Amino acid sequence: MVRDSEEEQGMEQELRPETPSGRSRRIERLRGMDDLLPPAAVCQRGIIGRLSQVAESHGFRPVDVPVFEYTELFLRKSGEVLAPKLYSFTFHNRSICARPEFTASVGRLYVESLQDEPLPQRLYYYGPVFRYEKPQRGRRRQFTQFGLEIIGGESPLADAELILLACEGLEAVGIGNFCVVLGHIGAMLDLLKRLKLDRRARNFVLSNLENLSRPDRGLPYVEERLRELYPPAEHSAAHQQLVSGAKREEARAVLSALLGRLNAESALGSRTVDEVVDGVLNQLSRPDQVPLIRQALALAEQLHRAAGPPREALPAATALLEQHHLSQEPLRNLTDIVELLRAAGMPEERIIVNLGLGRGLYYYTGMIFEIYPTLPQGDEPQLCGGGRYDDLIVSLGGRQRTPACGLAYGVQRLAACAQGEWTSQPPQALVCAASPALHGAGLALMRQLRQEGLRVELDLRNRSPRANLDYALKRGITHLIIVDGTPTAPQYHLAPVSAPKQSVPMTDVQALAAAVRGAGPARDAKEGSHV
Amino acid sequence: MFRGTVETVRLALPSKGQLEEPTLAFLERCGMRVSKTNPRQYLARMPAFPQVEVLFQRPADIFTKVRDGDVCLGITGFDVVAEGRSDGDETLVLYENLGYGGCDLVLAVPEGWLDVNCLADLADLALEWWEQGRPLRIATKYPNLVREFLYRKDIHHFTLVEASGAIEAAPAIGYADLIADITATGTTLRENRLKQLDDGVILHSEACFIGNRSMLARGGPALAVAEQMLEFIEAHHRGRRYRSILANIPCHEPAALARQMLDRPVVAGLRGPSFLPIYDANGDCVAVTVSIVVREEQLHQAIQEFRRLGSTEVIVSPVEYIFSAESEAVGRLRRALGKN
Repeated sequence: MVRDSEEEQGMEQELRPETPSGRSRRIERLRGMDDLLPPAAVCQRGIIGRLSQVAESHGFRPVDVPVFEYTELFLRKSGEVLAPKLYSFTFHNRSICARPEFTASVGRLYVESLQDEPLPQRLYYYGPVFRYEKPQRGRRRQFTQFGLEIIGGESPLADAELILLACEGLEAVGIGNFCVVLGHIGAMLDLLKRLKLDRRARNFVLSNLENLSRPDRGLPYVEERLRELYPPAEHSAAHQQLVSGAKREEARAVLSALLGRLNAESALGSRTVDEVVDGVLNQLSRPDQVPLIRQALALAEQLHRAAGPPREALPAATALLEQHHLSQEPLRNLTDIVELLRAAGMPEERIIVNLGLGRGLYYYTGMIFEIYPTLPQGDEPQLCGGGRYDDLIVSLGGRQRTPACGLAYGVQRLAACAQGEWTSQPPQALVCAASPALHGAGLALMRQLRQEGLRVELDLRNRSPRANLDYALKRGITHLIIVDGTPTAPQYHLAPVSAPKQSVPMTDVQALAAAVRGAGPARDAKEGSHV
Repeated sequence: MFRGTVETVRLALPSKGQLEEPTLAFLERCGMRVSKTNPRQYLARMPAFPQVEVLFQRPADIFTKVRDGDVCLGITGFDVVAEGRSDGDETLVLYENLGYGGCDLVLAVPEGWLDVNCLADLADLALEWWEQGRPLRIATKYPNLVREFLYRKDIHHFTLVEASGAIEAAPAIGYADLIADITATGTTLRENRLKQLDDGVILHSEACFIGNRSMLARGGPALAVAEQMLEFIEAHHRGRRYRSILANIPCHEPAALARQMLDRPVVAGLRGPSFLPIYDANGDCVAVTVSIVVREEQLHQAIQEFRRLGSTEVIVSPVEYIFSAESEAVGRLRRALGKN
């Protein structure tokens, strides 16, 4: 199936074989990008087919968007975490990139073309996405997403439908065991607002929620990052006093004068004296972000620890939010969603509520969820993830605030867990012309047989009957049809691969087709002969 | 340009700029003198390695020529290699720090930016400008290293302006807001009224020795030359840190002297002291010549010890090479090539 990462990394460590003279050197595959051989490709197609059926049964319509977009589209809202992973490049002076995900593109598509249509818009799509990451098992630089968006559906009802649909999709591809981790970014957003974190600190916390919940990283890792990115502040509360309120103007005058005296104007580059003075004043008056970040991380950690089945986790989270004087709204919303899921018949033991759940993308505003094959303990591959992003449409230039939510499956990860049998049917017959003069007759016969609904393949290599038999056996083809006679009056000999000696000459194509299908008589009705 | 035959091994050396002279001097110190018949010629030979053909190239070209297999071996700045290499390419760094040509790739902003002194300040500025829709433009010849470094520091909103030559002037001219460039002493930055960010060192670079993976993997003369060069470079580097001492000490009983020396770790030598006897006219041993090798920082202490032992004269000379039983650098190369 798919070549996995260990094997591949091993291969890359190895040396390329010396090129024998006269033969071109092989060109290798890009690291972290896979070929799909026929069985894997069949499986992937099967999965996409089943998911499409499920989506369409819920009234979703397919859309497709370009692989390349302006980089700006993905930085606008999902920004920081994705930026280093973008395959972006400057082409004719514009920065463009291969899409790292679909939601922003589909949001753009909606704003561009679907705003006048009635809401909600239920859209689905699939295709490759590209992220420049360290390749490993279950994490590739190119992978296939299957995603859904409900644009114009309010919480909690649309959220519940989305999650139920996510589960239905998994069941449709034969994944019966899984666990839905349900969270709500609203709790953390409320806290960050209350703590008045500046934008950088806010980004730091949001982008590290995921690290916080990873057993291999956790708080020590995040603390380390914090120390690295936030060196001890040089400015004290005394500095803040110095430039706060009415004193700010005084300080500004002093600083401007000083800068003038230092002849600093000639060493400001693209900034003006005022900008630099403002910068200094802002810096002096800004409260130290580190204690605030620590406070936010501490609550995230507590919320994460309180995760569990809804029955236990919801009251625990309520208590925590109360303790920190935070709004209960996100929890009420989550409780409503859980209620709807329960009413729709979803077994409660499938749900884990985790208010500390964070998903790298910043555009989420409400419920978020991830689905794992078992209880998430560490690095299990996430099968599906999604959430609500009510601000996205507006931030992409939409006319009005439009509630939206969506999800995406990792198709290769589904393929790794899917139980179903995904096979392609081999051809039913191999048509072999006895001589080159009969190639035309062979092609004509092929067309007729296909019209009869058969899958047939032509011998392109002028093999001997023996060799054709071997080939048919290897490919799982059940019948050989040898074409002889003359181009104007061809004769067909049908032989089952299992008993090649029992070949039957025929001229009637319909009878031939029937015989291959096994539905009709084994011998040609008209000739009635037996060899 | 003609391509080497199977027997020749092509080695590219820097032809211009600050690496040329130090490279030739370094190779000479390592016993691999380059014999250049004409200072303006781009080809030369190495008497120690008759099979080597030396080509003089610009440092950036040396990297691409080795990567692409036009040349098997090269010496160039590590900055060029770090910027140009990609995962899975053909470049193999055989020896990273040759000990000369040191410089740093640093981020520098106009001196007058009083509010920007470290990366955290730059991160705040980048976000502030991004919210205003104003790009933060960084001029550099090292886009890959700079981008990767800033991403690692959670700075994501910037535009790289790729430029060549006189990068330091970019903020003054106005085509960039700040720069990321190589500096050895900081003089050029200061002269252009730029200041380096406190924690803005992106990369420390020295001259390094590189080779083409596939060409080396074939073994033959290319690998043999690479291994020999590595041996000499490594032995020279090790030797550089040591001094060889010869001291004459009056002595009638070498065993007693040996005991005294063994009690003093600085002069005890690696496996104990070794003596050459000095005889007088009667054939009696009246003194010995002691020979030891000490670390350069222990030299003074060692001399004092010899004086205390009654030494009349101490002769100190540099150590050209120290070869160990096996070369670590050669071991690393063989492992990288999958040959053990």
